[in-house]
Amino acid sequence: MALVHVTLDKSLIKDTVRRDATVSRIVELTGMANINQQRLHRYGIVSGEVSASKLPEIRDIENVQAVESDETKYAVAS
Amino acid sequence: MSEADLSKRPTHIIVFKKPSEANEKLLAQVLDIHELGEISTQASCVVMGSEGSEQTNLYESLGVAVSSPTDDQIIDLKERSEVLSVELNQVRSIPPLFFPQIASLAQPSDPLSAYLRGMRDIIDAIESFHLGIDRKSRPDLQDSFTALAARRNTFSWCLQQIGMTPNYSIATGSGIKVAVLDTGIDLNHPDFEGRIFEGDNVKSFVTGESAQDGNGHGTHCAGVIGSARRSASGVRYSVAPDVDLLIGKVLNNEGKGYDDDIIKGMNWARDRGAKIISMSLGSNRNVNQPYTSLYERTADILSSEGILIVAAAGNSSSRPHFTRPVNNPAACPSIKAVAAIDENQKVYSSGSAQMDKIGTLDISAPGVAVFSAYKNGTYTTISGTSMATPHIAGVAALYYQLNPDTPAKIWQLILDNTLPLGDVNDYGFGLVQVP
Repeated sequence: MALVHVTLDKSLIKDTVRRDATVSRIVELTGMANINQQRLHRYGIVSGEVSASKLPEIRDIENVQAVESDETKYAVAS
Repeated sequence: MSEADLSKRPTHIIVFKKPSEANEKLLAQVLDIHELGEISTQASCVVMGSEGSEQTNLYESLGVAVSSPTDDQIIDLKERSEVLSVELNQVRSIPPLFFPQIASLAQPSDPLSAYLRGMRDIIDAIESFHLGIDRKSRPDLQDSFTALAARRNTFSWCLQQIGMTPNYSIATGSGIKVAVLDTGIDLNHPDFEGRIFEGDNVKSFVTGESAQDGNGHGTHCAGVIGSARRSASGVRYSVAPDVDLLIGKVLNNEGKGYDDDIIKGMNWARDRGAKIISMSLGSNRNVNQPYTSLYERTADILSSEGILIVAAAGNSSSRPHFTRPVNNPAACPSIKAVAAIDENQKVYSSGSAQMDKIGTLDISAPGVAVFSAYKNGTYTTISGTSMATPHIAGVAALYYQLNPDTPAKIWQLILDNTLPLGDVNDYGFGLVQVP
């Protein structure tokens, strides 16, 4: 299981019906765990833990713009 | 995500003798996995796995895979003629900070600096021969000399380059909140004395670490933006001494952090009323690799709410040998990518470049041998686009104070006043100038 961030189409931020339906679809298809919906209403982003094998399925869901793994960032000094 | 998640990272690196399509078949056979697809942010990475197994990433063009094989599988892999090595996937940290020669801080013709440099060399020799001390491994000792030399220049070369004078008083950043998302801050540093770093103005998003900066990078960046006008070092180096600093610790004391925590920090800065978010952080990006949607969406929304976001372009190049493209998240259209220049207005040799239509360079600022506050109440000079970024954040605060407006209009004012330096692929629109 890996933490991923799912960015929904921007139009869904204000369309709560389609937004909630899309999130439900993601959870139903992937069994996403530890779901974080705190960024959903403001940014249209839902995060959670899914099996790596489910990434292509999430990407294929209607109204999903992007799926990205939680990565490491570094201080940019040399 | 937290440090505990490091334990979930792949345990081994498998190096093949050469890149080949056959490598994928070999992994499938030995590890009993299959291709799942590609990671959207890493187009050349094949993701492999199976139900119940840890993910394996195969970087086809490199002939390298990261995976968590069992002991038996490791033995099997090592026996394959196509495999060069199977090694532990070790945690890496940021490179050692660069402490430039004392001369780069001082005026070339300054006799006292030359004298200090000579003294340092003598002491180095004595310590090395008789006491066994290697100064290069003792940044605390190095720091005392750089600070001493810098005192001769009571006004940072960086501030001179952006058009400030010792008597500059047109704007100070008063009333403007600037969020620094980095490794935290030295809460006891004399150059932040009188600041209220408690309650809602400082927050750590790093599990198990307070906002106290155990790295120094965050303190250095915050110092450039808004440390005291009269530094205890005797050197004026802060761009906007009257800004209200918001300190979000999103990188741990090793200088590493997770997207999840950084996005939390951006949202926190928004809720705290930040007008500018400064992020001297990033990760490498390949040419034509997409920018990150996670950061772009967040920045897009925050920008529409009146927040300007700047980020370091990256230090991935090695001119004149090669250049690398602008990092993520600086490559995002809604985030301003900052390049670094030296005191001769030449591009920083390690600075990432504009190499595709995705990661554009926006602007330049001083970023080589930058003097500022550091951890444990000290000072030092560091190089990097990390150091250029807070200069832009500080200058933006000055413009905001004089022209409370949308980020787009503020940014246009900044661009209208830049000093063109040359190739936009190295310098963006040019060197930032104060209003």
